[in-house]
Parts: sequence; structure tokens; C-alpha cells
Amino acid sequence: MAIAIGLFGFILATPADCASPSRLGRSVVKIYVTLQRENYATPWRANRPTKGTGSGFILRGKRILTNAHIVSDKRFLEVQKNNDAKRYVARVEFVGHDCDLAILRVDDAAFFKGTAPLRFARSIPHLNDEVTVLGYPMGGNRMSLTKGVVSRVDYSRYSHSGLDEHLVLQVDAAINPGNSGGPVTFRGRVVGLAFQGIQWADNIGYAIPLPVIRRFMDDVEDGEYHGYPELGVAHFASRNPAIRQSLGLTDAMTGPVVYRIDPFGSAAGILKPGDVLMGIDGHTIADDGTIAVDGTRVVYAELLERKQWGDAIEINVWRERAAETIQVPLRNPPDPFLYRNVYDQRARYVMIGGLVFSPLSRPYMNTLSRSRSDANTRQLRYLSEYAKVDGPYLTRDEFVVLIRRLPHPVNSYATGFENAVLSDVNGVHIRNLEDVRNALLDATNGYYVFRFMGMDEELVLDKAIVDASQAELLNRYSIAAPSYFSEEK
Amino acid sequence: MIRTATTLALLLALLAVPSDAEDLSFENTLVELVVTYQEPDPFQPWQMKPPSTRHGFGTIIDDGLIVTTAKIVRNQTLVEVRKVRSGQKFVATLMQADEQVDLALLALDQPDAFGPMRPLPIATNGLPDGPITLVQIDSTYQIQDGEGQIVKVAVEKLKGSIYHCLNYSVLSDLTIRLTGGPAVRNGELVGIVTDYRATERTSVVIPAPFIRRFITDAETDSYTGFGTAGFHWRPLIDPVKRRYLGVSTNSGGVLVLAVVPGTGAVGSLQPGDVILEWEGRALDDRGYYDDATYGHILFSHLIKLNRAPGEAAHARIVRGREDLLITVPITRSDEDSALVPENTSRRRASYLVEGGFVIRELTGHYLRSYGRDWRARANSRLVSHYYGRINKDYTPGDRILMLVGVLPDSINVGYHHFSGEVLVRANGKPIKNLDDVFAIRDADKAITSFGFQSSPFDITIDGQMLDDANRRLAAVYRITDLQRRRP
Repeated sequence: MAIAIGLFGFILATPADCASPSRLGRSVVKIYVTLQRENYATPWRANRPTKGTGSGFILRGKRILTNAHIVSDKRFLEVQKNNDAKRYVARVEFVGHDCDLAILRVDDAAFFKGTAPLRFARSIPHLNDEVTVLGYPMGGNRMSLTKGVVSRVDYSRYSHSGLDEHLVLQVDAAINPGNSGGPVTFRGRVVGLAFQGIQWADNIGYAIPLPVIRRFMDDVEDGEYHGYPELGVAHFASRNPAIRQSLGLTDAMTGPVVYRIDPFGSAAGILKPGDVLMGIDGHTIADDGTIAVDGTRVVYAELLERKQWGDAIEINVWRERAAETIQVPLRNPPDPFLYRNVYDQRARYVMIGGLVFSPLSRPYMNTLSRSRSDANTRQLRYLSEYAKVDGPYLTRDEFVVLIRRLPHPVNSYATGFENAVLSDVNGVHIRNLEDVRNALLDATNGYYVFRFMGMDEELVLDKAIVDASQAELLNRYSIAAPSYFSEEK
Repeated sequence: MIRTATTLALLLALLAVPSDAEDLSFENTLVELVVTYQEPDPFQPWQMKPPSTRHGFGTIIDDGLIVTTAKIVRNQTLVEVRKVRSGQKFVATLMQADEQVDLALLALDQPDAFGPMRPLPIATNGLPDGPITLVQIDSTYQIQDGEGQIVKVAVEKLKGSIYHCLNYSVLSDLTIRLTGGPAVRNGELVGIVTDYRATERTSVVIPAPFIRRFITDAETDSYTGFGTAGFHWRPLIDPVKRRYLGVSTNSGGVLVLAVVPGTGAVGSLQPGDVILEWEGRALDDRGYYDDATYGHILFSHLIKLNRAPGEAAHARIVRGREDLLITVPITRSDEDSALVPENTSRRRASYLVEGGFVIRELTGHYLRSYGRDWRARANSRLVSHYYGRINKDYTPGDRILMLVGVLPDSINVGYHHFSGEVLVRANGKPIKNLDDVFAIRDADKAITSFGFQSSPFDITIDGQMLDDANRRLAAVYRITDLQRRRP
């Protein structure tokens, strides 16, 4: 039991925590952000800028660690130290959208005067260990401190990307809006970063745990964030005796059966349906796909959570009644059919004759009401779920969607095509948005003929009328540029 | 041209009806129907849903013969007939129903059960020339009637159906309680009420010519039904599109988008054809023509009423900038040749339960059974199949085979999470419909391997244990029949 005397003369009895709040206060910063989201329904314009605040903490090397979701789509970023009046402009050095982490830099060296970096703990705490959450949540302006215990360590979806699942630390300390980015400490060392809560639950707050943070920090050491490598294997348990027999599995052998391989995963071309995954990096895989790690059963994919691009993973497979050891290099080609939330990018589009084409994306689908009942909207949902399963991905780099028709006499009769996926223009197959631009350079006998996936009817525009109306359309609908193709880095 | 019935049973109106004064006592003409029905359960196709009751009206058109709507008697297990001022119920048998015109013919088991009745003759004239009387039985079992005006004559989709039919919209101050009742003019039946739109005070009425044709057909040995030409079309209003197709902007005409496999349009019409005239009637750019009887209506009416399956229609088209006269055979408008049939009449599905795997063909009815939100709730691939967005070139008879789910049993451990999948292989062989599955099962004695669209890898169950497992599954899940083949 330690009694610490804080800098300001009051006595704190903190049995478990070796650092005082005032000392920790020198490490925790408040972040002020103005952000502006893109509008995927009208991609030539963005939404209104909004303001927000969050928390972050200082690490060795004059870096600030915080959440990606605080600084995504930022237009203006400032940080402020505890008990300091001044605000300093900050910039984003690295961001990991698939794990909701970001590293900020402040160029003004004066900022770091009087600060102290936090250090990482060696490992994550155990259930019931008491942790401290620091930050700048709602309900006041000054730094706040809450305490709680570790309630659960589990896999959960990170809502920032909407798709990725990683390890999550659940604590019963209060984590409220504004706490995001703040440190979760155990005995004065960082074990996590507070990042999300659940609206309808009491006493549940989530933090990104140390392993995920460490992996992010390791990843960016080479100056670029690569992200989590994906194996890309869908499997089912090899529990059924009939399948075990047909594969030649004895009772001693365990492991799930590969059902499908993601064409953009690391295992593409290396593993195949029918392979039985018996071991991974020396761990035996049970029939349900779990392995034993540190005394608990976890899904084998957890091992990939610790890997970086360029690492390899060793898999023992049972294939065609023989055992094989296969090295799978962990390197994913870019997957345009993985529909994550998108940040820090402008929506790509092209407007011609009042028809606006843009590639299918998760943010765009989020703008569509769930109750829309037309066949085209339903087809978009099908493509987003089955593009890599049923084969549409083979003939396309992305799905180019007619997202909007801006009414004008040039296109008055082109109704019923909204949300249809472009197949070809003037007979030229469309693989991506750039193909649209190229196809429009050449009109068939003075017409632009658009054909769409699954639709019998063609959309026909007169090239001369389209050309003549382009300026009027841009003006009438206040569109600054008729297209945007390149992605910002 | 209206088909005149050669069996004149209906036109022998033995009871003369005064032409200048309406005989409004419909007590011996109008009956109430109490229909007990049971709809099949699409997710457990060996089972029916709980029995329920519908009420509606019917009109006596001959000795013991009653005409009403097909919707009222859909999936009926018992039809009881009641007349006013009497509590007595008598059983009637369903003779014929056709959801394509929403009509049904019933016959009282005892034709003279009610004593002398006053059958209503079916009108021969096309369009009633004045106000119509709508008749019903009110909640106190009295005859109630009201005058109505025809405010619209149009070809429209029947409620809750994929079929279109010419109908009268009749505006009346009579609040219609139940459908199936008659619309009367000059003592003749001019239509049957198929739907009522309360906020508009409008009844949707199926006109007499359809009733006449349906009854005549129903009384023959084999029901022929109504026909289709078998093509999808769109209005051709866009002047740019007309120029592109080489069709003058002054003429009317509609654009053929696609032909339906298995119909007369295959081989006679092509996508891109522009139809200028149908059976000698000029079409405007929205597909309307001027009918001598009904006025400005959609040309599809000519296919439905003026032609029967087995006949052919003639048309003038533009194809590749050339003017042509063509003939289009008319075939039975049959859901059965569709890749994903709608199953408007909600017939029991064929299915197979093998080792707990519940296999059936996809229908519109199956998807709609997910509720109002079915488009979002049902598997997105199945919904896209239903909308015809995935598989456009199919042979009539092909179906989308699906796995509804797996009923857990020891024979199928490890597979319980499979559901909503599209089945494409059985015992390693490709399958196009349930008949193929049964053929393989008959030949191999059992289905022990299942291949789904999502993977080239087939899952298998133990053939030795299958008979026992099937017996066990039938007992545990109370499955009366592990299979049902197409009749």
C-alpha cells in the first residue's frame, strides 16, 4: 500500500496505481478536430464540417497516440495539454483504419515542454484487475479520471471500419464520448486505449488492448501502415463422420475443412477447398477451428492478429489423404470488394448527361434506405455480399453504379436505372470507373448506349445533346467538376 | 371479339328479368361464403399453417353454380354457403379457380339445397351503359345495395398478384364489406368485385366477358385458361431512343425488351423489335390503343381476352429498320415455365427431406413469407434470382434449388449452420430442378452428397445410416412425408 503525495500537495491513497493523476495528466492531451465527411450520394459535394473532441496520450519520441475515428476526414486538428491554455496545431502521421488507431505529430517543439510520455505495460491485465481511464469526456472541460476493472477480453467488431474484428478489452469504468483516444492504465502503464461504448448498456466500455497497439506501432516503423494481413479462408468444422471418412481423417487428426478461399486473401492459390487445417505455426487446430494459446481456446485466426505483412504463417494441411506443411506468405493484394467504411478519400465519380456514376462502396450503400424495394438496390446488396463468391469479381475491378440522375431534358426518359450496375458503354465492357471515361470518348453513331447488369433495357443518350448540356448541368446543380478519378494518398 | 359460349346453360335465363325496372331482391341470387382454408408452410413444406377462415360473397349463375373470386377460395378445405334470412349452411365444392382473372366456380353439393334460386345471367354487352348496382349482405344478414359509377376502365395488376386484367373501377357510396359480390345492370351480371379501396370508395370489378369465358372454359373437360404472348416490353416515348432504333418519332409503338423462354414470343419476337400494331390496332408510344368497347386501354387486353392458348396473334413491327408483319403464338400464361415461379395460388411445394436437409425450389411465395421486409431479410442471392438478375438464359423447367435448412440430427452434425444456400449438385451430379434430384435419388437410392453454389467442395453424410436417420427425423420433427413430388 503506497501513499503518494501529489504535486499539488494533496494526499492520494492509491493501492493499485503507482502514478498519480496529476503525473498522468502530463501525458494525456485533449484533441480538437473539425472534420468533414464526404457525401457519397452526391459525391461532388461534402457534408457540413462538424466539430468534435477526443483524447490522446503522449508516447516516447514526441508522438501522440489516439483513435483513427477522431482524426478521420479531419480538416483542422489541434491538441491541448492538461492545464494549459494554448492549443497547438497537430498533423496525422500514421492512421490505421482497420484498427482505429492514429499517430499525431506536433511540429511546435514547445508543446512537449512539461509533458511526460507514458510507457506500455508488458502484458494485458487479467480479469478483475483495476484499471484507470483518463481523458476528456463529456460532462466537463477538464481532464477526468475513472476507474474500473477488466470485465472481459474478447474479439469484437471495431465499428470504425465496420468490418474488422480484433481483440477488445472490456472494462466497467465509465467510457463516454470524448474519452476516445485516452489511455487505459494499469499500475501507471498503458494497457489499452479507450475507444467505444455501447449506448444501451451500463458499465460497459471498450478499449483497444496492448497487443493491437503494439502491432500498429511495429507496423508503422518502416514509414508506412500496411494493415492486418488476411488469410481469406472460410471453413466448416470437420465433425461429421461421413466427411471425415471421405477425406481419410483418423480420429487422432483434427482441424476444420476449407470450404472457400477468398481470391484476394493470402491463401489464394495456396490453400484450396477440401484441405483440412490441422496445425498453424506449431499449434494444433481443433475441429472447430480453435487452438490453445496461453491456456485459453481461441480461433486460429488470432495468430494472424500478431503478424505483419511480409511475415509468413506455417500451416499443416491434410490434402488428398496426405499431410503437407505449407508456408503461406502474408501479403494481400488490394481487395476492391471488401466493403469497409472509407475515410480520408474523396468519392470517385463521373457525371455525363446528368447521369452520375460512382463505384459501389460501403459509404454509398449506407445512404440507401433499408426499405428500398427496387430490384437494382437489392442487386447491390447481393453484389456486396457475393461478388467474390459467385464470380462477378472476375470480370470487374469494381462495380460502377449509376447512383443518381440529375433531371434535365437530356435524360428525362432515362428512368428506372437508378442503382443499376454498368455493364458496357457503346459495346465496351466496363471494368472500372476509368473505363467509363474512356468509353465516352467514342460514341456509336452519335449515341451513348449504356447497358446494365441484369437489365434488358438500354439507356440511350444523344451525344450532341449531352455535349451541349454539360455546362448547363454543372451550373444548375452547382457541380464544381464533372468527374473525380484519382484517390488522394 | 368476345367468345360466345356454345353451351348455352348460362344464357338460358329461365327467369325473365324485367328490363325497365331492376328487380332488387337479390335474396335468391347472392350468397355468403364461409371458407375454411389452410395455406402451406413454405419453410416446413411437409406442413400446413393453422386453418383459418375467410368470408366473401358469391353469385348464383345457374342451378347450384356459384361464381366468386379465386382469392376467397384459395387453399380452401371447406366452402360453406349461406343465404340471407337463413342460418343454414350448405357445402359447395370448388370446380375451377383461376388467379389470372381472380375468378372461381363453385357447385353446391346439393344444387337445390336453398330451394328455387334466381340465377343472374351474365351480361353480353361489353361496357355497361349506365349506373351499376353493387349488392352485398350486411352484418345483420340483410341485402344491401348501392349505386355505382364506372370511373375508370383500365388494364391493371390484380391485387396481391403478378397478373394483369382489365377491370372497372366503380365509385359507390356503398361500403363494401367483403369481396366476391356482383355488379349488376339491367338484371344482368356485369362484373364481380375483386377488391375494394376504402379510402377511394372504389370497387375493382372483373368484367363480365372474363366471367363468361372463364365459366364456359371451366365447364369443359380440360381447362384452357388465359394466354400470354411471352415478352417484356416498355413504352417507347423517348425521341432519342426512337432515332437510335430507326423508328419514326411520329408513330406510336412499344419496345420489346426480352422474350420469356418457353413462350410463343421465342422465335417470333426479338429484343429491340418495336411493335406498331397489335391485331390490327395501332399502339401509341405507351402501348395504348382505342378499343371499340372499352376506350383507351393497354394492348395486353387483346392477348388476354381476344385470344386463347393455342391461337396466334398477328402484329406489325419494326425490326432493324424494316417493317414486318409477324405472327406470335399464344401460350398458356403459366408460372411453371419461370425460373422462379411466383406461386400466386400458393400451392403446396414439392420438396425432399434427406438426412435432415430440407430441399425445395425457390418461389416468390417463399420469399414473401419472410414478411413485409422480405427483400431485406431474405438471402440477397435468392432475392436477386427472384428479380431475374442473375440467370437470364435458362431452359424452361430449370429452377433455383435451395436448401431451406438442416434439421439437426446426428447424421448431419457439423452442417447445422448451412441454410439459404443454392443447391447445384447432388451426389456429385449437376441438378437443374427437383425432378433431377428425385431422378438421382431413384437411381442412387439416396442423396448422400450435397454441392452448393458457394463452393466446389461437396459435403457428405453417411449413406449407411441414412434410412435410420430419415425415420428418426420424421418421428422427431413430425414430418408426415419426407418427400413430395410434382403431381
